[in-house]
Amino acid sequence: MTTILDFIKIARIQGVDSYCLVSANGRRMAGNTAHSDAFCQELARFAEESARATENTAFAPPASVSIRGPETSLIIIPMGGYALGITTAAKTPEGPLIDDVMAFLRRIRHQHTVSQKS
Amino acid sequence: MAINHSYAFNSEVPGRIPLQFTVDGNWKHSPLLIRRLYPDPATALADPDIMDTINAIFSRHPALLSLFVITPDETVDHSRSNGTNQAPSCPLPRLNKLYHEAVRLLPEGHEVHLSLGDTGLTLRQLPLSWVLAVHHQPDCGTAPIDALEEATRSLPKSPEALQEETLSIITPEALIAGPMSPWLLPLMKLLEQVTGAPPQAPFHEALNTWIDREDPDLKGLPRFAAILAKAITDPGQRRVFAEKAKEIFTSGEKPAKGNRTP
Repeated sequence: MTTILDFIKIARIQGVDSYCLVSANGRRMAGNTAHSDAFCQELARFAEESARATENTAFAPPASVSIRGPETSLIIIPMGGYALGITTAAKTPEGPLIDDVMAFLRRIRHQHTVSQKS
Repeated sequence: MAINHSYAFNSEVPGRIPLQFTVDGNWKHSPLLIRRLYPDPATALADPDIMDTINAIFSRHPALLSLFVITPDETVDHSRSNGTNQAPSCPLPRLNKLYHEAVRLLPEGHEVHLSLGDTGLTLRQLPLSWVLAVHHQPDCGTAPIDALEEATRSLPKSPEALQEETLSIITPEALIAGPMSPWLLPLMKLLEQVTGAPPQAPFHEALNTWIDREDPDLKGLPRFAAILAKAITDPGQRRVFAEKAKEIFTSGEKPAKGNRTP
């Protein structure tokens, strides 16, 4: 099973300025900066809201939601009962960063699937 | 010889209001003809210049799929899709709320992007807390969305302004049986004489185009005739129509004799 410790390495991905993993009820599970409780709760609520937006439509829930500012973006990736929020470093191209983060998430899931089988 | 054709303006555009009247000006069936002949008054009231600009942007950028201008109460005020004239349905509900909740998480945020599998949905804020939603292919880039934002910035209207515009609804009676009747009906007869066929569809299309471009009035009649003429494919017929249409206009400028109509 993927653990909280696995997420620590996400900060090493180039372009990640900060990250925050929150549970569905808004509890901060991991992160490399001190996000406020209010922010964590908002993040969890918005992740749920964005997933719910596709209910009764032809679309699957969004794989990611990006909130773009002039310098940085906040990328939200719903993950089952959790939501991962990543603030990008200034001037980071968003597409490649999302690809890298998705690959990282697949890798840590895969690692644990393999280790569980062995 | 009395002409007693009936002209059934059954729209070829789904959702448009069918009109039906006779050439003597009597309405056989006169449902409300809202301004610009669209089913949705809010959509109808969009400035035709803006619509032309949006159409041009869509024609230049095939990666654009559809556009929605969404009011604070989640009403789609204006929409456009690529490749069809039919109003597209908004891909997701409550997009205005979703945008405003998203930007609370990043106060300097000005754009929200949802990755929806093979496509993306980009949301931007318009004045008065309206939201522009653009559904597009992943390789769309920001330039067409910038252009659409610029083109739609003047669409948002306050509730008071919207209410005022709604009151400008006109009826078929006002359009045909009003001051333009003595010119419009001869134009219809002329079109039939020249083309040899009842002018139902061409007249309907031209009327829609005219109303889309301006509020119909007598000064705009030449432009309406030009729209009609443009739809005549035979050059000879087009020339005859243009010449005789001029006579219809000028007949209205002669000093009135008694109660004669042009």
